[in-house]
Amino acid sequence: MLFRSVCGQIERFSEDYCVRPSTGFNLILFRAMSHAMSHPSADKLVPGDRWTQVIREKNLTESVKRVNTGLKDDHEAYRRKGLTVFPKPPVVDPQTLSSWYSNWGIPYTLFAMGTKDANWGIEDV
Amino acid sequence: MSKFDNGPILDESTLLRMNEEFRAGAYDQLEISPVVRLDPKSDPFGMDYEWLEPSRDSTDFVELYAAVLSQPSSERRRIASAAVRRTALTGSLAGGTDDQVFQKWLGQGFVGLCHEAGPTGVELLANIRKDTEVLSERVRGILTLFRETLPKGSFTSEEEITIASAIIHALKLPQ
Repeated sequence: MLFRSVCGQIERFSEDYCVRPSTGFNLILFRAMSHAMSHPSADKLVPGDRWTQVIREKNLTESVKRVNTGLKDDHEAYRRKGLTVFPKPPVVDPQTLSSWYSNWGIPYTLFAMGTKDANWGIEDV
Repeated sequence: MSKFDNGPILDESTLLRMNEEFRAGAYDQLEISPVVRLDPKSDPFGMDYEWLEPSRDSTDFVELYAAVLSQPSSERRRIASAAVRRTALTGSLAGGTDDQVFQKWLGQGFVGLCHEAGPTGVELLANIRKDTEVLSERVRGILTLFRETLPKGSFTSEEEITIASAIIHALKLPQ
């Protein structure tokens, strides 16, 4: 269900930024989103913990870079073919991307990845 | 009370700071590893991940419209119409059997075409007003698609109708 929801959101994102239908960009976006969820020590995550915040910030930073690189490449592909919808490549800032991810179930997934923590149960959700 | 509302994954002050760094160009220097694309030949599941990609012949609408734009303006609509109809009928666009994918792609192509070329609109509007309910229904469908897929304010209502009528007109013309 989460996967289907994310796929739907990726489609919406692509439409909002006028990315042409392409599995290539979907893949970039999906990887960027996965990167935002990536935690090497997921079972040590504690909500509000400084370490958790640092990892999330680092991952979101890289995720923003990946998405913007994908958007730029897509725009370049348009431009090379003599057709652009936007004069400049669309850009997604960290706050906007974070907002998109919020709607993609990322916070819930982060929770689910951290449920091994004894102090963090389903009642917290 | 939930600790995990469906809010940002980072607190607001952190996001604002990241936004400032982003605008200052700090992210430009960031190096990331390229996304590796799977080769269907070596994929253990044998999936063809490129099924949604437009094929590389003239059914690629971006290329098609680029070619159309190079023609004299009086010929553009006729040439584009014939090509669009041919593609629609043969379904040679990859994923062409999927109406939604096709319509989105077609819509985006026309949006790009009209954005670049500047449609006159008058004649197309006149054409669409000649026909009645069936066309109106189809135009409404396309307008809904535009409003769902494009950022708000991309086009005026009249431009949207012009684009929609151009699509309908293209699909109606004989080859």
